[in-house]
Amino acid sequence: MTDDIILANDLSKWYGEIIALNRFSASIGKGVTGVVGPNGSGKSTFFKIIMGLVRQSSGTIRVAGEKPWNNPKLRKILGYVPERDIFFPWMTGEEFLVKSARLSGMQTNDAKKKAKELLEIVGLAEDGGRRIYGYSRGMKQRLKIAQALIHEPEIVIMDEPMSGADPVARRKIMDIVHQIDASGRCVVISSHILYEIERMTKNVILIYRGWAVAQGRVEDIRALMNMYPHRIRVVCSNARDVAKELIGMNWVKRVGVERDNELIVETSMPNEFYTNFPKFCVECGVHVDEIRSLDDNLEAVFNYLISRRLNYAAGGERE
Amino acid sequence: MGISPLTYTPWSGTRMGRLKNVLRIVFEEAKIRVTVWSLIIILITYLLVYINAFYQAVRPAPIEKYGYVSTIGNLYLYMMLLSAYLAFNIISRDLKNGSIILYLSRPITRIEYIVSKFLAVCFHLSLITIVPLLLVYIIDIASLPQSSKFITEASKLLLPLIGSALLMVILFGSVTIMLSSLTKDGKWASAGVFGVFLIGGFIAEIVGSALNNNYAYLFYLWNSVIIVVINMFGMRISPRSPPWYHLPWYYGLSIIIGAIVLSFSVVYWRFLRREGIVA
Repeated sequence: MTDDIILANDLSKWYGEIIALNRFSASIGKGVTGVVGPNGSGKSTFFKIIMGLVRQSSGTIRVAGEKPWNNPKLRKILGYVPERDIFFPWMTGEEFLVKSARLSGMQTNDAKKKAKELLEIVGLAEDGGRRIYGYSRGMKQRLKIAQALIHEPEIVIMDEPMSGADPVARRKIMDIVHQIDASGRCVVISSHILYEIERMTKNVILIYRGWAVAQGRVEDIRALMNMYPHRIRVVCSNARDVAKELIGMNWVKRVGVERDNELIVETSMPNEFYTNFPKFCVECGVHVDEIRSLDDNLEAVFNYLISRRLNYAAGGERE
Repeated sequence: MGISPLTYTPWSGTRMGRLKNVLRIVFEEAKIRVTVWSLIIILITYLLVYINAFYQAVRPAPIEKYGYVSTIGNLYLYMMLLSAYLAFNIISRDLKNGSIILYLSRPITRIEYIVSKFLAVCFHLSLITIVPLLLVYIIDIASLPQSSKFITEASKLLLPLIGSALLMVILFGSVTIMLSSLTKDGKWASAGVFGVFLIGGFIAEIVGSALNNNYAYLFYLWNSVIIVVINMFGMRISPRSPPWYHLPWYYGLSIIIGAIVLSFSVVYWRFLRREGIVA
């Protein structure tokens, strides 16, 4: 196995006239990788292609060096937590896990042993004997994770595992993801809630309308963004007067007044800004209460790259 | 408790091959289906078959008359009812509750899944046909005079009985799988079973009668089955039976094989050509 466990190249997928993936390219290695994008951006389709549940319309994909479509050999090393429920609701949690293990090829005794172990790991040991239809959303999500892990896969694909889970379950799921990561497995996890992904990994793929808008470590994406306007919120006294002075500086591209005491400064030279702005404040006698980069979180990176990509696709100038 | 290598005990068990994969799914399906309701249905069916057997047994020398045509006819009806029940949830249920993804994300090919489901349906249909049919046969033999003529006659019936039951099991099994794979809503699949085996038959009978064409009757699958049973397996029937019962056996067999091939083609298309099954 190379460093790139999952390698997608120019992957496109059409459902009739609807495009789910649009020349999507990405490479995923060991550890946790987050796939972030709004609903309908193509995350689930990408995961289904990885799992061999659907076939790409064009492009290539290799998972552990193998083509995934209808490849049962590959699915021995893949674990899948789908977005939707996959249960037999009349079964108990334990019965469901035993069945999942049996379908993975385990003998009944091994399956029962593993089911108990996994129920313990996902925090459902006490509820394993209850019927699934009585489970809460969070419990169902954890049971889905357990079934994905029961055959000890090397690659775990988790599609929106925290969707609908309560805060306690979310915390538990994050904990489980960290533990899977610590066990040296490859985890690919999707979410449309960015802070969740940020708390589990710094390695992300940003996807929007089937495009891989960006991929890499958040810090790398951040560095990429330094080439483009950087937004900084400045809370200060007399914001309008400060804005008039700032617009004349060559290290400022645009200034907007949000409130009487708040400015949004856009700069293409963030280093210059952070060097010169303190001097500027001293010279002009500006009292600054707060300076905060608006682009420091994943959400800002995500929104920024999407708008840049859309402008580019629409034939507009790159900013 | 965590998923670190220390607490996550490595699994050292063996994985099984394809055939065992298939048999495992069949076994799991058999377990799921044998619920209280299905047991009640099977018991009622057995009871009906026993009544039928009793009726046959008290008739004077039934085997020397017209064999088991009426018994096979009853089984066609029972099989239709059980098929409707199975079509309701054998694949439709997996599509509805998403468990199709559970199967297809495991080391199981789509072909294995289809074959397993088909064998599971066949297992249940056999339970309601071949087993009671043989029981009827044994009861009849035990209740009639043990003459050499009778034994010769009785032995001639074994092939038509088993042959017709197997033919119907495969036919009903394939159509059931097809209808169940077409919809998430099990009641449409069940309605489809009645549509194919009953309403389709009425239409064929009406068309055959209106056009005065014996071949049109072949499209009532029961007619095709009985033509094979009579003309291929050699079961005797009343001389007053309809003229299309005397059509060559390969006409009936062609229609049955056509229905089976068509059913599997639809299932193949649904699972391997159309990915919407999990989309």
